[in-house]
Amino acid sequence: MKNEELIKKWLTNQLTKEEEKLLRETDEFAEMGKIWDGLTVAKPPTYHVVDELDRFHSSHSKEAKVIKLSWQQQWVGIAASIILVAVIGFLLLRPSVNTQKVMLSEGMQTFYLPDSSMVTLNKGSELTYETAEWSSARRVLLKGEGFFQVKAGSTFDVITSNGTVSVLGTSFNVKQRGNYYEVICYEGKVGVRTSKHKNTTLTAGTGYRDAYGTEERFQATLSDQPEWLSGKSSFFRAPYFVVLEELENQYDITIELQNLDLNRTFTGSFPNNDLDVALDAVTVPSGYLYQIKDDKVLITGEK
Amino acid sequence: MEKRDNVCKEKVFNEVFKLNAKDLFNFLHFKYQDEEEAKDLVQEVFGKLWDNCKKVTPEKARGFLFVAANNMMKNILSKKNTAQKHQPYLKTEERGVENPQYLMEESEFGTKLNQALQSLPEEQRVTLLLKRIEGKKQREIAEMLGISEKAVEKRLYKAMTTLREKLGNVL
Repeated sequence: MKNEELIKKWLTNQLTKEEEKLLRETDEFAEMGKIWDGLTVAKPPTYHVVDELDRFHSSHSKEAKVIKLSWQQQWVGIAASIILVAVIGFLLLRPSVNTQKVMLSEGMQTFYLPDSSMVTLNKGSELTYETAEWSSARRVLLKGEGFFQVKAGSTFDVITSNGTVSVLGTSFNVKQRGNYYEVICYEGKVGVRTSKHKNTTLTAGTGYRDAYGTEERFQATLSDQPEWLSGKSSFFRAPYFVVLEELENQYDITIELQNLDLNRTFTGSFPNNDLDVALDAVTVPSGYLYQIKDDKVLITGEK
Repeated sequence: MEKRDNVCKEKVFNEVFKLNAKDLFNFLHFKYQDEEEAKDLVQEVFGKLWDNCKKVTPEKARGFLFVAANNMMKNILSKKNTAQKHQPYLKTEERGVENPQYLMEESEFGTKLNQALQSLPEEQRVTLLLKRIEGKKQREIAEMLGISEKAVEKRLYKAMTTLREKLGNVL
């Protein structure tokens, strides 16, 4: 039908004056116009809003009250059961409810363990320990990175999925991120046990790491505490992707890579509070480029 | 973020009812061409809103009501369609009655038009009448029916051409 477009425009009030004139001359429009005018026959009967609203309330108000009441009753019931279960649980399980768990997704946090040994957790880390058994065994489970300043006393173990650090009294940093495991001793002596290595002893200023299966002992810094405590992430000949993972952790970003030589290592540091400077620090020495898009960063290497 | 009222408060609910009930009624009447059924369905749709009042803000109420009405119709429609199939055709066309009187002709045209409307696919009828009787804009109709504006335009056109075909002999 050749007038289809015009009729559609007419039906949706989009006709121009000229188009309307054109359309009015067609037979089609004469008929359509008659139908259009006649459609008023389909006018619905009058709807009495107020009456219908009253009707609604007379049939629903009771029901509504019942619902409300039953909800309240349910709540009382639920609350009572929860309290009961909690009380029984507390009474029965009290001796072993003493698991402490600290999860840190923002910034860093320092706190004391039961023997007043001190731990500082880095962003994105988790520490678990049992207070009930503390007097017999000082033992903590660590995921992520933490700096420990341990009071002299019985053995103190820091257990990670990659290895265990045992000390008597000293300060050291443990970093466990995925398959990267690094222990640096800042004071005294620490012993590191991994599945591959029965026991490695570290003295102050030395470190041990197992980076994705490659173990090495290294000479670490001369400072008395890790740099991340002062808001900097620093690395000493660390695999490049370990550096990038820490960058992701500190800034909650996702890094995508293009043409990068991941066998490179990185020595240096980046600030934990300025993404641009941090990215410069990480890319400029290697001649890489980066682009930031929202919470994604693309790092590209040479072609 | 500002905490919004939901429709559980009777005052808010009544406002929502007053604002939307007539539109819903007309919409359902266009669809079913049955006053009682349309009234009952309006009650039922508001019952649904009342049951879910905690989840619905006043701004979302209209959308909720029309979605509920559209869904509800699908169930009832299947019942109704089968009922209609078994209903004998009651009205016979008065063929050959040539009445010169203008009023009579008009009313005959009205009857024919009404019959033609009844036989339109229900979605075409509803779309056309929302436009013609309610004067709703394309966008409003699209929102009520949960379809695109383009689809509204197509249905309007289809409805008009179908009516014209059906009424060919009285036009």
